[in-house]
Order: sequence, then structure tokens, then C-alpha cells
Amino acid sequence: MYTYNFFEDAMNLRDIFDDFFTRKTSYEPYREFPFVKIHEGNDRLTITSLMPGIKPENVDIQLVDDSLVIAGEKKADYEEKPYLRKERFFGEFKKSIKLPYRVNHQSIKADLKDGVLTITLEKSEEAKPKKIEIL
Amino acid sequence: MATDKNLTYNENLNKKVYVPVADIYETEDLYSLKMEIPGVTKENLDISIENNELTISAKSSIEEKADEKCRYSEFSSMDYKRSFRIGNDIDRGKVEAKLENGVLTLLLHKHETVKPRKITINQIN
Repeated sequence: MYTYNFFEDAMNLRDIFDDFFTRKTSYEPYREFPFVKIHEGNDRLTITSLMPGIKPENVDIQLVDDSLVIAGEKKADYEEKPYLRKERFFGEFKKSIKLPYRVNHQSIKADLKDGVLTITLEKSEEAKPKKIEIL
Repeated sequence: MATDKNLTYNENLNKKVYVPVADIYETEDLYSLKMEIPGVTKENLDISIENNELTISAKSSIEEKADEKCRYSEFSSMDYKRSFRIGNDIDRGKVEAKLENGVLTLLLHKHETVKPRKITINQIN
């Protein structure tokens, strides 16, 4: 049985207005979760991603062709309590990042600490410039 | 614990100050607040209560290596700040904080006097 409660709708509407006018949440909302940053230096790529509240076992990182695919699930930690505010996002996510060059498959390192995922990739030997001697 | 005061940018710094998203629930004994502050360690986190205002400010500890160039970015170096107005029902001395995987959990206990109390009826005769 569901009883229609007008106030619930009114509160939702209020939230929608509040969000629209005042809320400036962390991160940029028009980007897809998770937010990433790519740094390059000395044949090395560092990908940093913000993943608060996500456990390492719920993240799956794959190298598919020349893309790095980060997939996973952020599990809701809601309790059976009357919430005053619910602003956090939960759910499944998947993001593919195209890498600028081929990377060494063996030397990929991923580390999740304090809600920040850091993936270190090294340029593969084949992608490095090769000098060709003229005989 | 209702209204959250609007947030300002830190004027003297170029760094953006983000408003972290929060979940808040209330029970008979306490308020629980969960906030996402990825990249923050215990040392860089500052929680204070002053004049009915709970302020959480934090500095991100994501390092930028000097020899690396930024190629693509969807977020900038972050500092976080958010304030909440809190009522007198919260016991200032009884606030628990926990930081785990970039999620801060604050438990703000209510004063004993405002907690609901069952009154037992003494039977005479």
C-alpha cells in the first residue's frame, strides 16, 4: 500500500531548486564518474582518479587494445535511518581512457589510497622512437 | 543541523575550494554526517565547532610531480570546505570522526537532556 504524501513531493521539488541554484558540489558535474587526470613524464603515464568510498575489490582495471578501462561499483552505504540529506552518488561506473601510446603490459601498477586511485603505466619499448642507421 | 551555510572561495589562493557532498541522518541519539573528501589524510583535515557552526576544511594531499606534465584533467587540485549550522542539541564535547577511503564520517552526539526519555510510572498502593 502506498499513501500519497504531498510533502514528499514538495521536498523533492525544493531539493531540485536548491540543487539548481545553490549547489556547487565537488568535482565538475558534467563529467562522467570517476574523474580522472592524466600526467605524462619521461615515458611514463600517471592516471589519477577520485574514488571516495570505493574498495579495491570493487574496481576492475583492464587494458583493452590502446585504452584503459576502469569499471566498478560504488556500493551504497545507506542505513535504515531518516536522512536529512542525500547528496552522494552510488552505482556502477565504467570509463575508458584512450592512451596516447602503447604501454608495457608487465609494469602497470595501480594503487588505491584515501579514495584516490593512481595507475602508473610505462611506455612500451615498441612505442619508443628508434633510430635507424643508414648503411 | 539543517542549513548549510554557503560557501566561499578562498580568496588568497588560486586553488579552488570544493564543497564536498554529504549525507546526513538523524536518530534519537545522534546526527551522522558522511562526506566525500578523496585525497585527504588525517593530518590535513580540520574539523571545528565555533558559534554553532561546524566547519570541515581539508587539504588534498595528491602530489604533483614536477617532472610530469598534465595532459588531461577533469578535476583540479582540491581543497575542501563546508560549514553547517548546528543547534544546541549537539554535545560539543562528544563528536566522533572517522576517515576511511576518502570518506569522512562524523558522529555528533546529542546532549543527554534532549534525548527522549521514558518516564516510568510509579505505582502507589
